[in-house]
Amino acid sequence: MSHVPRIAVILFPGTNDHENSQLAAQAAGMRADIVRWNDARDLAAYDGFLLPGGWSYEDRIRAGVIAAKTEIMARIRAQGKAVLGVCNGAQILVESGMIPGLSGKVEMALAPNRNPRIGGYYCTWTHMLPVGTCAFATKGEAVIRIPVAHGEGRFVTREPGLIERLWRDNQVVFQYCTAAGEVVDAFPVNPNGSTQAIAGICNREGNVLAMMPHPERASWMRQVPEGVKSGDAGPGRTVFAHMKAFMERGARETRAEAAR
Amino acid sequence: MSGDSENGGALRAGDTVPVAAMDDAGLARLRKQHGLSLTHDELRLIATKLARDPTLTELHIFNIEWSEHCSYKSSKRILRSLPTKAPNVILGPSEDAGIVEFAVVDGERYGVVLRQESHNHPSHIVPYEGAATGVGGIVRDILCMGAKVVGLSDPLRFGNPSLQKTKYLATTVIDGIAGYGNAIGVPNLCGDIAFNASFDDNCLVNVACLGIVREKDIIHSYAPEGAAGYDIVLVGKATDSSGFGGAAFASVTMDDEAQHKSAVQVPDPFLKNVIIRASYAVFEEVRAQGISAGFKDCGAGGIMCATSELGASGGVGVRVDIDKVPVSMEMPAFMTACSETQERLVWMVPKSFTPTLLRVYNEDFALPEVAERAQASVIGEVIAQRDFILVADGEEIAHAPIAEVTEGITYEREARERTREAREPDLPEPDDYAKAILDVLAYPDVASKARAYKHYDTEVQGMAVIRPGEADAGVIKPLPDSDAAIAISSDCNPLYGRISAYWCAANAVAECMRNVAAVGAVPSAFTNCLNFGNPERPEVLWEFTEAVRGLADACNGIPHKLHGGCVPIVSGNVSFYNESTRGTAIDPSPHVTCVGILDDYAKAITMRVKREGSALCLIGPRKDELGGSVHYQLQGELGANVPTVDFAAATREIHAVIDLIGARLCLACHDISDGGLAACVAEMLLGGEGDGAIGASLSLEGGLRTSALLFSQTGGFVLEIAPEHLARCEELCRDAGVALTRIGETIAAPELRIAHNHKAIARVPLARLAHAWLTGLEEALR
Amino acid sequence: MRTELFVRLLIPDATAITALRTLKAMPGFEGLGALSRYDYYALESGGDVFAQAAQCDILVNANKHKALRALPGDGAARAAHLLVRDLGDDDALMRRLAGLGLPVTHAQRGVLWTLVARSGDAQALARKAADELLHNQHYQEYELREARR
Repeated sequence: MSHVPRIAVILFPGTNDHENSQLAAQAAGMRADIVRWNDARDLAAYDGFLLPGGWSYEDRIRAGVIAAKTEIMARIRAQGKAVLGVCNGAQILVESGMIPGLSGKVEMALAPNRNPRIGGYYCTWTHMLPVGTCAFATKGEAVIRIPVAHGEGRFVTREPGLIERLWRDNQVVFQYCTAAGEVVDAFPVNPNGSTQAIAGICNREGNVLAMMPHPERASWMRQVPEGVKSGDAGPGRTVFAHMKAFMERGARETRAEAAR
Repeated sequence: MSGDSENGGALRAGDTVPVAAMDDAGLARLRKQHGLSLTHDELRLIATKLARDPTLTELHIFNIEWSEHCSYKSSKRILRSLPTKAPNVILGPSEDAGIVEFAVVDGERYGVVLRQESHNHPSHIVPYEGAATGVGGIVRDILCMGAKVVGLSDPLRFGNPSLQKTKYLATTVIDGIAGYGNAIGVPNLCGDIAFNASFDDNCLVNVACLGIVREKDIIHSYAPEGAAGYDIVLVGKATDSSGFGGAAFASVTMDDEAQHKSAVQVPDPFLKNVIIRASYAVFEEVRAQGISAGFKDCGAGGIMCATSELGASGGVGVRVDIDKVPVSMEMPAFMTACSETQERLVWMVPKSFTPTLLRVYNEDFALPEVAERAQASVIGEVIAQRDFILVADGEEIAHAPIAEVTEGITYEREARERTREAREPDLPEPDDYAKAILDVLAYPDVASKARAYKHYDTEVQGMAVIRPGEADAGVIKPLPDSDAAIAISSDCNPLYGRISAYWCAANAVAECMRNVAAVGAVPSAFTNCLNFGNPERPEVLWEFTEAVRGLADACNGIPHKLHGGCVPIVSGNVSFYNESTRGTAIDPSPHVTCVGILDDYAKAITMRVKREGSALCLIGPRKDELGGSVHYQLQGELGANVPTVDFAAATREIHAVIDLIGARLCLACHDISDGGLAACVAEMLLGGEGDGAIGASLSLEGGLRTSALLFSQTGGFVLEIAPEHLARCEELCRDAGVALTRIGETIAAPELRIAHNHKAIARVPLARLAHAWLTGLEEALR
Repeated sequence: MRTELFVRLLIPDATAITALRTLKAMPGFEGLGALSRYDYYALESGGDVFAQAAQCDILVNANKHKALRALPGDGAARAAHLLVRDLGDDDALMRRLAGLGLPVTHAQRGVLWTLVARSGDAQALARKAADELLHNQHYQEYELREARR
């Protein structure tokens, strides 16, 4: 009997991308429930979690920091399962220390955008290259056309040697690149000035990912600008497909162990 | 609970004000003391209608209800001639928003909910808040029909861009719209910006909003059948005095800045976000429990307006206890009743449903944790007797027949034709056509609007099929289980209005329909916002009447492609008193927004040329109609030959284009408007990002002078057609009685080449076109 | 010359309210009594630009803000003033200010938090609040400020 992976898409006050994320997860073959931040249900029934984009708690104090301190985040962390954080979800993961997750402390920030042309919030389409393998991506796979829409998307750290460690430990997952797949750490390819054009970072185990671009907004071809208007899988689908496969493997391995 | 603080004797909310017997001096003092904007005659009329003197609260009630903004007293009679009925209308103009048929899915009919509103005066004084609350207000109108809010359009008008004030206003208004729309997760689908000196002292900030609702889930803006005994529940922000008298404020010309600043409402998009999510959950409960409810947003006139309208249109009365309204400050009861605090909604629900309602807002979505004292609370009840009753501190402070409160007043104001001084200039042909084209592309009205929409989230909710910049209309696919799509566009050229209000309006309708047709959608309905000067001036009222006539003629003259009746106007807004105290009215600005339907989103096409070796074809022959054109503006002229609309021809053209695109015979399509044919083709080569690499060679023929051929803004389309489809397109057009004129082809060389009557006119590299077009608006606002 | 602006909200400060609630739910903040906040700007230019900056709507929105040159001395013995600043210049802000006729060579933004302790050392509480919630060291720095008496 096969197990269809089920994820909880967390809705904080101010979250915006929960419905679209649910649809994208479902299109990839997962089951997805939208779960409010103050819902007391047991999270053990879920194989993974998705923290969607939006403005949780109005970005009070800093984007993601209030959500990071909520009880539901503590419970999600305790589950130790796959977590995909997109945009504001990425900010929540960084402010909770789950990304990069080396010491349990906050080791990075997603700081206000810096680019020479446009100040503040910036919505555009760009590309990202999978440069690390984890539950959500495979290094060397195709360039992914994908949109960004944020004001604080710049991965930064003052921890000496941290970025080098992340590279060494296969924790840098996505970098902004051109359509041809060339990583360019300059505007407009890098839309927000992120260190080394980094767009996504995972934890050491590879099952938690913080990414600023929005895969749920590129999950169908019809969403892609000047693209073929069809219902076929879009470039962002790969993130969800990987997540589903990862959770299926996990389920299989857990069942295999239980059977032994 | 004092009513005034100025002259010692404090009037309380429930005290009688003896207006019937007051002389003019007394009324003048009264107006000043209480910030009233009704005329002396109107004030006396209150006593006549009530057959007694009003209480202080009732005075404020009528001051608001009889303001232009609330009562439409100058426009109501004229608006009756607008075509509002058609087979595809689910709900016409009578509630918070209009609804037209969108699609049928699994036997269920879905509707598009649409409305447009203005927030002109507040945006000119405090541009961030004014624009933000403009978005907030229109979103509530859509939400309150029980709909999911899915898109925004922002038509904006500003003054001369070389003025520092204009740059500041434009930049800050864009920030305000972005700050609000992005936070609530509603994507920007389209919009437009135009600049001219008539808006120097009075910018225009209009916002249109779209929603989707299943017909059986519509929640009406009136108390439902059997509502007597229902609870009245107020949801949202704690009430304060902000915006008090804002409705009256909108009917006063720009005068005392300091006074008006305090009348501006404070936006809270975060609270609104949570209210929207919570309301969607309430909609599900309403459906699940099968109850009937009334739902209305608090806009102008706040709680008073919302409850009285819910009651009056449902044939019942209301009794509201002001002491039960959560407030964030101490203020007189009439202020609590009438203030325009943002982010508030009013429900009428059966008492048995109230616990569910309160639980969803107050616990599930924890409104009190989102903002201080934000909550849902019962503030009154629906009563069978048709009275409007407000109670405070145990006493009635208002008790009037509810129909009297909401009916408003109507005027038949004098209209006098404005004599036209427009004349056609005698201009030499440009020495350098390439420069003329670049100048047109760099003109802020024509240039890329990325400066604005890059700050807007265009992708949130994931429904976008075509986003701003890619085509003439935005397109979304809102339902997961249906391929049907909605196209939306907003338009109006104020310079046309300066020449002829009638043709301005007719063109706005035709142009909007062309925009929607250019992506392959069938124009299905309109909403509008009519922005004009002081209607007490006969010339202004004449222009308003002419514009309404133009709208009606166009909506009737270019019928709905499928049902053959008019394309209906299902909602709208009128904004008067847009002028400065110097007495200069803004150009007549009847803004319209058109919604079109595509049965298959996959057929939607963008304006960007797709291949070399395609034919470029023109529909809509060029005429000498440069009145109000960008080219003339650049020469410092207005002109007189404003484009006119041959409704029958426009119908054939628009319908033919929809058929060609629907049959997948076109690769790209763009309609001709600002900047004429030259700008149209240039934009097709550039694409929304300005990075197009395919060029074009145009061979134009005919007797029109070259500048007219290139820059006349006569309505029309340019289509890119692959050679293998050209014959079929020609045949379809011939059968439809439409001339399809080949004007050139796309080429590999990245440049735009133009020849007229076989004489080479211009040759401009794409890079130069891109530079002009991409930087035009940014440079203007720098 | 450096000009500092402390900008206070005249309407309820939802961020300060949320911050206080969040801190009180965290261990070790039982002694925290009250929390308020100013937006902070440090502008570098040829002369004193306070008057001009205070007129700039993007910094000080007259509809809801009040601007001060310096922290008012509030006499509260148990108050600590924590200034959290974003590292580096805010280029976008500088461009906007230049466009509004206020060219500056540096513009830094931040938040000035005033913590009032019910018990215990206010300064220590402020540092703890900074470390655990109010600042992210990877793009911000903080210092404790004296209020002017």
